[in-house]
Amino acid sequence: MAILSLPLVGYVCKAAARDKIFYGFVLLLICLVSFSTFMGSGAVVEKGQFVTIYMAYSLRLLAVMALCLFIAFLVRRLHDNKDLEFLLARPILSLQFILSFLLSFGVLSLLLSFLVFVAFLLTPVVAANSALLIWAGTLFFELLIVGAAAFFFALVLPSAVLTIMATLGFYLLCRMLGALLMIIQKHVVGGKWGFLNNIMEGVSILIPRFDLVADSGWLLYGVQNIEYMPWFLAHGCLFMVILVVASYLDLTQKQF
Amino acid sequence: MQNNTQKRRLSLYWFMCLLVILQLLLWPHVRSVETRWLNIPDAPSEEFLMLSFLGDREMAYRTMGMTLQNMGDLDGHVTPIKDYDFEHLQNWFFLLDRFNSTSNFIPYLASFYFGATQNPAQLDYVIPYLRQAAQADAGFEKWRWLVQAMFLARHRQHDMEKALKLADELAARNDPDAPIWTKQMRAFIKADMGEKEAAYDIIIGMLKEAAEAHNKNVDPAEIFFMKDYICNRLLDAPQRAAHPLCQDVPQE
Repeated sequence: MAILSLPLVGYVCKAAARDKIFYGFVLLLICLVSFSTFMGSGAVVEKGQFVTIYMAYSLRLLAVMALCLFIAFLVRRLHDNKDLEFLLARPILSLQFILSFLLSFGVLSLLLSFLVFVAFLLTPVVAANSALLIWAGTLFFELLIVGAAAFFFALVLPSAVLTIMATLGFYLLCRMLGALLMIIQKHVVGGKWGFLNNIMEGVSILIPRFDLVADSGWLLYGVQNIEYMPWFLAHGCLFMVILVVASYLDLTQKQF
Repeated sequence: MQNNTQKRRLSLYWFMCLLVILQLLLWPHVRSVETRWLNIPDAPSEEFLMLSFLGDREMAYRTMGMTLQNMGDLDGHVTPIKDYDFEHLQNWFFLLDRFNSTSNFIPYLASFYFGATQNPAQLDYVIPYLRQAAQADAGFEKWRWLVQAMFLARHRQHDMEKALKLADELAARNDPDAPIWTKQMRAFIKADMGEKEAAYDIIIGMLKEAAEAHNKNVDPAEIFFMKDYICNRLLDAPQRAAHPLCQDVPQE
């Protein structure tokens, strides 16, 4: 039996089209590009750089939000409409089900990051160079991990709201991990709260550091700290495998 | 039954009217309250700022830079720059410099916007930052911020000693993209301080250096300018007449 079910991938992609995620995304993308241009133009100098950074920051958040909301509501709908039971009643393995869903979210992530990439190409603020390509590529990888996490939370948690809150919390933690590790290194937290340092160190073993990728500064000054990239990619891939195993365990324990 | 419902609805309408009247009574107390500017807050720690912008250092730099640019202009009021808390402002400059030392945005604000303060004593907070901004990657013409610091010390603060120290620093940098006048600055300041001999030594030294290199790296216009500066600004009439360098220099 194949490890992936292409009809299932098609099903999720059709659900995305039915939810009009791309129309909404493009509409909000246009709004955010316009807003970034408006905000950036207020700077006394380096207007283009301001627009670029505002665009990078807001479009990255938009892509994460779009993917997270879509996955949370899709899986909740599958639960509520008993579609999940129907899909799993077919001769399909739980692992096949999970991997097919992850592949579809990968396709969506690719499309979202491609749209962001095109938005940068269409605006005259950033030159089409390798830094932009690497930035968009790492954004895709970031979305891939967020998608896998959202899918896991959607399977485990009983409501869409909880899934969204958990996924956004996870995303914020991943983004802020660099600053948190900096706090640990500087021994800012000490005394009776010193044990929190160890907890955060423990969390950082598992959680991938998003602050190392899709860095907005790359769009202005080129890609820096590229030497960390293979480590980040390996860490991220391992984390996704952990999520897949956790989702599989949850799915096989559930009584439908 | 229907009568009762109508009565209840009517009393609710009256109650709503009463609430609106209460709002009207409260309004004069709220209307006059304006958003007050409590001056520039102190800069937070690097970690705090990083956390606030989800680890995106560039976004933190740009957003806080823009906030600094627009601070004080609030609710239709414009605050004179002399009323800004420059100690806090300096902390912001140094903090944001740790986030991005390549950009020229904060040095630009510091020198051309906050540098225009009506109180030249406050420039003591701006000049050290510009010195640091000039230390960043030389590939981005950062020497200009040292020139700006020197300008503020010399022309706004009239502190020639400080300006001379900065000029020495500028000349010692040997930036390949810096024009020759960055080295001549020491002489100009010395001349302003009345130390014409010292200024003469600097310029003549530069002319000798250029001659040893067969004038390859120096524009002929610069050579002419230096000769003119020596003959028309640094030397008096008898010295000028006796100096061999001044024979072909037209007198001003």
